[in-house]
Amino acid sequence: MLVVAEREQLPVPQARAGEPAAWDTLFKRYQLPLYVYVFELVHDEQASLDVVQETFINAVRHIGSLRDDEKFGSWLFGIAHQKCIQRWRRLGREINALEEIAERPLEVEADPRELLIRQEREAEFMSLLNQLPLPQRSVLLLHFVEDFSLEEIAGITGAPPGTVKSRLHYAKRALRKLVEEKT
Amino acid sequence: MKTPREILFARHCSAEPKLDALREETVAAVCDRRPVKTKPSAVTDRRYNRRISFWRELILPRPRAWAGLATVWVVILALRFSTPDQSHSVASKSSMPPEVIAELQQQKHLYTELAGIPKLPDMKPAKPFRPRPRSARRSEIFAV
Repeated sequence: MLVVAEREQLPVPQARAGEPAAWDTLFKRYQLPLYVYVFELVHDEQASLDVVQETFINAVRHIGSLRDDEKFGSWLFGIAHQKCIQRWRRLGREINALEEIAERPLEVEADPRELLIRQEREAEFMSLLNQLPLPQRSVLLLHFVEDFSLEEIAGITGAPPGTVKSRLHYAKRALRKLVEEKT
Repeated sequence: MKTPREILFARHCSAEPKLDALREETVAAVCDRRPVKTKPSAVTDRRYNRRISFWRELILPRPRAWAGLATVWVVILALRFSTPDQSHSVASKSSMPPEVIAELQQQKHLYTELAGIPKLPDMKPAKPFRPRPRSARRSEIFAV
């Protein structure tokens, strides 16, 4: 039996109409996932809060550019991702070096969300996550935090779907190694 | 056993109050079309803190001395504005006493006699220029 996950009913049309309550609901829904994503990329609390706020402001200003209301979440994460890149560029951080990940044929793997981590291994998990190259970490976080599809992650990060798939593969493999080690 | 999502969210749930405040501020500001006060960046923050700490280091060690100095200045300014302005009356007075002027005039006469220069009529001192209304000036010209 095919089970289709029920889509969240978000008040995007009301937000388009400028209702503050609708914006409040939307921001409340995404504030923590956005913060988690941004923090795990930039590792700075104040910078992460700044990026989340700038993302909210830009979302209100540019809601007209959102074509599909159902893609509000990935659109919002896309804004946050761009803000992170702008911040790295301002700080003169090298991003291109992290983009070079060879694309290879990939085997079908289990959903990384199915990974279950013991309490005593949580710190180790976070440590490994932080050791991943930035593009892999970004893709994996988007997968963990919001369960975005490959196409949605590609839209957020601006990378081709093939590259996203490759990054996800290597990130999952690294994490699986940890899981195997612990068992 | 936890999923990665649960671990990540648990790790950052302490940021929720800050995010709530940020959200409320943004919604209130953006929906009212007010300018949003974005928090200063880390670099701006550091510069601002440096400036603040400089002034703190300067003022805080001797707050009483600075307060005393400020009081003295307030008293000086109060005295300055409470007393009438005497600069005009001082300026109008001649700087030389009449004896000295008489002596100078006598020396001038003596010099003209010795040099054989015909005696010059006594020159009246030039009147200080006082601007008058244009109408008064015109009547003076007609009178001449």
